[in-house]
Amino acid sequence: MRQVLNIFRKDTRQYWIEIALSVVIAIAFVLMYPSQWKVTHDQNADQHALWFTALLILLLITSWWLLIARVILAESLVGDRQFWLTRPYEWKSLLAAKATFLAVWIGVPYLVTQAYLLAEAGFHPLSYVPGLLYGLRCVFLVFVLPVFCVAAVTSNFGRLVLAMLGCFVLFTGFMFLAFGLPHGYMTSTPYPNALLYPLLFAGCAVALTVQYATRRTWLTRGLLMGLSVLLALTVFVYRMQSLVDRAYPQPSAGSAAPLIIRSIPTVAHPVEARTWDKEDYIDLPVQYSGVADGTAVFGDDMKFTITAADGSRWSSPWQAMQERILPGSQYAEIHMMISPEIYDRFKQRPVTLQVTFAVRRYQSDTVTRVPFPMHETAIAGLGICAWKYEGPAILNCRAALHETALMHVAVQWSTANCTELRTLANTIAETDDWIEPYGPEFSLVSVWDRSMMFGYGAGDARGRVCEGNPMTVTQYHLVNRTQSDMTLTNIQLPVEVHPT
Amino acid sequence: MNPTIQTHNLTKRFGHTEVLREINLAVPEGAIYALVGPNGAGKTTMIKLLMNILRPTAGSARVLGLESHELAGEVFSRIAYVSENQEMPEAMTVTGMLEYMRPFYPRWDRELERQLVRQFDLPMERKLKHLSRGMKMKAAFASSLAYRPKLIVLDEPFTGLDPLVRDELIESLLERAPETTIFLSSHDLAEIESFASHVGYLEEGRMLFSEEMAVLAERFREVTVTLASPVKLPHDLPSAWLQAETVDCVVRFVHSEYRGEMSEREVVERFAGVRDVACEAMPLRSIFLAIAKTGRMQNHAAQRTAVDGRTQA
Repeated sequence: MRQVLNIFRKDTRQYWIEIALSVVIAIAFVLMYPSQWKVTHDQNADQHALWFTALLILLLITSWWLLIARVILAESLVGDRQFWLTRPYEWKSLLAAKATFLAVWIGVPYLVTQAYLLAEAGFHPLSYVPGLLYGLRCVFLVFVLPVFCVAAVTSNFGRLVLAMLGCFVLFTGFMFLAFGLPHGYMTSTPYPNALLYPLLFAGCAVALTVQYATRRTWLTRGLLMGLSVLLALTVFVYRMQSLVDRAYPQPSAGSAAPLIIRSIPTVAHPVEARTWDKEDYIDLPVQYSGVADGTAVFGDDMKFTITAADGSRWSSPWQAMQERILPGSQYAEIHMMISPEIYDRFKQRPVTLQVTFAVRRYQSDTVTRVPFPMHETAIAGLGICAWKYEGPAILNCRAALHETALMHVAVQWSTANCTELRTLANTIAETDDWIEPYGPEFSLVSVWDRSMMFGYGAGDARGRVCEGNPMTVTQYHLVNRTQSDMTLTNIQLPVEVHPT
Repeated sequence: MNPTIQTHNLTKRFGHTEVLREINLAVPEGAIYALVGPNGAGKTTMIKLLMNILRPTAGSARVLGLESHELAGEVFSRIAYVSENQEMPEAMTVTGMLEYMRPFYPRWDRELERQLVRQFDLPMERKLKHLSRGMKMKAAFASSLAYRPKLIVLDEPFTGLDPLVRDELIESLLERAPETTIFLSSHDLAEIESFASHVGYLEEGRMLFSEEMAVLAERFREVTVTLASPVKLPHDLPSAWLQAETVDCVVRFVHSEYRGEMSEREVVERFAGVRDVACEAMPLRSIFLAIAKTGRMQNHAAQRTAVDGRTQA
């Protein structure tokens, strides 16, 4: 322990400038960030504040990386000329001292600034301690531990920067391959990647232990490369087609279909074929219905099976769909991607087309009716909300630590001025917006900030949302994931394929 | 008594390059052992193997009773290591470095530290990166001697230092000598001749010899044989006779296994018409030069033989 403290004190004395820089940036960030939710009614000023806070986030992460690099390389583990190699350093103490340094000078300022941000946003920080610690854990896993590992296998700052750039290029390349290539066989991710964080933590912990205990740099580098490959594999595995089938099982016999899907080609909306980026796309106009009141259905993926009269058949993999389907009738268009060679085989003759949809079904929970807030008001499920801009009215809500659940927010608007008495006669219609969780498990910032936009027509028909207009907030919960089918028999696919 | 350092067939290869080949040596406790050899002989590698900075390819080394690969942590509170090319914590002041080092060593002697600081006249508040090479080396010495190590290992500690600084450092070392074992490497024979008790000679990764200085000095003699008439050197001279040459009636060589009268008798028996045999003690420098030159000649001859063999094949 004595050695840990001695090394920690030395590092703190030696790198106080880097520490101060990182703390100052963190403070600047938490002072600037609340401007995102503060009502200014000045979109330009807000835009500038947004850019500035984004820049501060980048600077904050860079300052952390600089701090990590400096402190780990102070006792570099690579090379044979460092003074400390022949001093009575215990490797466990050295590792503990470095970890303590990062916890104290990155972790504690992070916790303090995020607690301050929560308080500034109107949430009591002590009520969110587990969430703050969870955020801290994620920050360390994503931003600290990987850089710690790279610093532990590089000999100096220049090489570390090069290694980081190399990692960045590889990561970008991988992300481009995994997500960026324009192909339609991308599915939504049915499961959160449960392996990613445990694997990252375990892999980094093993690599750091091996490196600090043995300084076998090539072995550690090998371990880290293996870890990168494993992490990449989990990303691919979690996007595998078979997972969609597992996540969205066929509905059991007798259970009600979550929705009804009909194909409705008309003269105005015919089935069309187009080509784009070496693939053909068949655009099918459809009508969704049968979604029960109080429920909502989200179409995540779909797959197609074409069967010709002679028995020849083609089945597509799952393709992304991303459609929100609500009660009532809803018209939409679905896009089947197919390679031109395969399409040529089927387009000349009548075929049977079966479309299978992978959908999530949501049930509304609580419905809250509140007056539309002009000033900051706490709304159950949404957080603290306030009207932000006129024109296309924007309602800005902020929540602590976690995103809100799936929400539907509807507001009535009227033709009356806000100073006039609003009656049913001048209440024109209801406009709505949805809040869907993005999906990421954590954010660098403890306050989640979401905006809803309500449109009002234009010109003379332009309406207004005024303080006190009725607003309905409906919270949904996930009921199940399932599949739903639509079969079109004896249809003729378009022969002409137009360029997009 | 167990040697403080002992190696057994210690070998180190970097890829296909053999830097050290089957080194065997023993450094007794209390010795001042000088490892000498030309640049590139493998001295630094040898020391890094002993200090567990590098790992041997084959063979083993024991230091203070431990296998070299076990050297880590607490055991370094009994070992001082100073190297000419060591990376020091440059951003620290001398005071900062000494304060930082102190808690690592249970036997740190504050009085000795103060004495060393005074002796070396160290500028305490100056950062190491702003110190001259000599001052930096003095600071390294101060931080390495203040805890009264059982073993002091120095890799070319005096290279590039002015004579005054060198003498100061040597003096500080000799003051510690009674309570410690010193192992140092150097390519400058003159600087170690005055105080080393043992010496090992390393060339091209091979230990040509390793023994006590007194024994070495006793073993080598420059022999001058005066003959009645000029003679051609025979090819089958004993292998212990190095650098044999003849000028008119005089034959000169270095005897590397000199054993007094016995050796002189051997000389008389070898040549006809010997008028006089003079055997002079040699300075260390001459001994090393003789060994080095002989080693190189033998290497060249071996290489030539190998080339000839390949050509014929």
